[in-house]
Formats: sequence, structure tokens, C-alpha cells
Amino acid sequence: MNCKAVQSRLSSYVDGEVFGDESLAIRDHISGCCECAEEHRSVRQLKSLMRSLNAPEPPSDLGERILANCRAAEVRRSPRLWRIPTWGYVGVATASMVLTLVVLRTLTARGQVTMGQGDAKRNLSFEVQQDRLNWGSDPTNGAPIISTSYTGR
Amino acid sequence: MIFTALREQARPKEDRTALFESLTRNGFKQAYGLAYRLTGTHADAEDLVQETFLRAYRFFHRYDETLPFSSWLFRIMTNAHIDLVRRKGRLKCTSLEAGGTDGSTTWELPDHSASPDREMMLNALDAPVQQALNEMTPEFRMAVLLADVEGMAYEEVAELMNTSVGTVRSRIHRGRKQIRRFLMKHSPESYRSYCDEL
Repeated sequence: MNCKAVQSRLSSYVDGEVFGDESLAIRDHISGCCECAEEHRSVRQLKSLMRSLNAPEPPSDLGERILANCRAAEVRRSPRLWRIPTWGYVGVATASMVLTLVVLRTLTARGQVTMGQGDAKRNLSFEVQQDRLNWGSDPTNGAPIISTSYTGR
Repeated sequence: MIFTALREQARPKEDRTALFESLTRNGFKQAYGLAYRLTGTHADAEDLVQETFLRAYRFFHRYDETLPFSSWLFRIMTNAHIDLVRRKGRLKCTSLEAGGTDGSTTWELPDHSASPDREMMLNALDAPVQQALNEMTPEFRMAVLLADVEGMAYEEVAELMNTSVGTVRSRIHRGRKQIRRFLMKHSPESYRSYCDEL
């Protein structure tokens, strides 16, 4: 291992992040190379300095202010919907169901009326007859009811 | 992750709130220490800590109690710090070598090398080290601080910073070199005195 390779790994070596043969090779190199030994010492000194730096003291009430801030943010984030009481949800759900049923019934009733009166050319019994002619069998017996060759219009 | 979230959801909300409050009261000092080294001023450190805990509170249902709270919190702080730096438009850093080379920048840093006391030397080097950290990119600064000040393993730092161990290795190596070069340039006597004491 040459000096360049050793020096690029010295930080990891000092941090105990180089293992096995590589670690042994670096150790051997350092013991015989003044330049790399000096570099190794420098890395250790800087690491020692960084670890020794005094931890800055926070304001004494910071913890409580953080918690107060979190609580205030939660209140701000809660939308009005979440404050509706449980019976409110039940009422809204029931009203939606009733409305849906009414709309469905109305649409179904309208559909029956138009089926009998409207466009006689699209009469259902006519379509079944036509299918029987096209397929030569009962269309409810597996064959598609509306055939591709249908030209009923 | 899913099971953790489900387990957390299953806990009564009061319990989770009490747990968060307890973890906050126990952990805010350490968080502040890292925030100060990351930002370089008390006002910015407080902003960063507030933002970090606010995000932690919002996503506390995702926190796995079996893992250290500090690691989870520091991950949030990493992202919050990068976001804050970008918002303030300070991501563009000046090179450490820029100071003094063309006469445009002068670093006014105290050099108290006369004091033999180690504590005094550390105090004297505190500002230059912080200045050197401030001049680094947030990614380099975070990697160096997590490894050196918080004593985390490279793998832990990599996971926390959402990057590879190789990238962490490189950032720490280059980051330390930058700090040392800066100290040798702007506080050489203090730094040499400190090194001689070791």
C-alpha cells in the first residue's frame, strides 16, 4: 500500500472503520513511514479536538417551548371536520344513504318508462329474435346476446 | 415499518403524547448541541431544533420505540437543516481557501495561544472550528459532526443521511482536512499549542 492510498484511509482507520488485512497493512505502513505517521497523528489530534468541543447550553425553557409549539401546531392543523361529534358522522352517513336511494329509485323508474316508449327500433325482443337468426340458437345459452353482425338499425 | 405504525396506532394517544414529551425533555439538549454546531448561531440553532421537533411530533406514529430516539431525531434534523439552508439561500458556500488569498476576505478570529490551560485552548479554538464548519456544505458538516461529536459509526451516519458508507467515508475525510487546513491558516498557534498538549 503506497502513501496516497494510506493517507486517503487514515480518517477511517482512526475511526476504527477499516478492518482485517487493510487495517494491518495501514498499521505496517505507518510504522515505517514518517510522513504517513505524521499525517496519522494530525488526524487523531483533530478528532480529539472535535470530540472535546464544549456542548453549547440551550436556554433552560427550550424544552417546554418546544412542547408548547408542538401542541399549538396540532391545534392549528386539526381541520373543523375532525371536531364534529360522533352523532354528526352518523347523521351525515344516513342522509347520504337516503339521498342515494332516492336518486337510484328515480333513475330506475325513468329508465323503465323510456324502455317501453322511446326508440322502437332498439326493442329488446327484436334484438333477441335477431340474435336467434344470427346464431341459430337460444342466445341465453352461452352465445353473446348482441352479435357483431347485428345491423338492426 | 407497517407493524411499527400499527403498533403505534394501537397505543392510546395519551401514551404516545406522554412518550413524546418525555423523549423531548430528555433529548432537547443533545439536539440543541448538534443544531448549534450545524448552524453556528444560537438563534438559528433554536429555529432548527423547533422545526426538528415539530416534524418529529407530526410523524411520531412512524417512530419505532425499539430504536434510539436520537438517531431518528438526527435524521429529521439533517433534512430540516438542509431545507432551512436552502430556504435561506446559504447553500452556496465560500471556499475555505478563499480567505486571505486575494485580500478580499479576512477572518477575524481570536488566537489565545498564550494560555497554557487546556480548557482555555479549547475555548480559543471553539470559534475557529465553528467558522470552519460554517464554511462547509451541510452534507460534509453533518457527516463530520455525527461521526466526531456524536460518535456515530459510519454505517449509522450513512443510514441517517440516506447515502452510502463510501460517501460518508469520503465526506468525513475531506471535511476533517478542510477544518485542519482552516485552523492551520487562521489559528495556527492555538491549534499547535492544543496539539502539543495531547
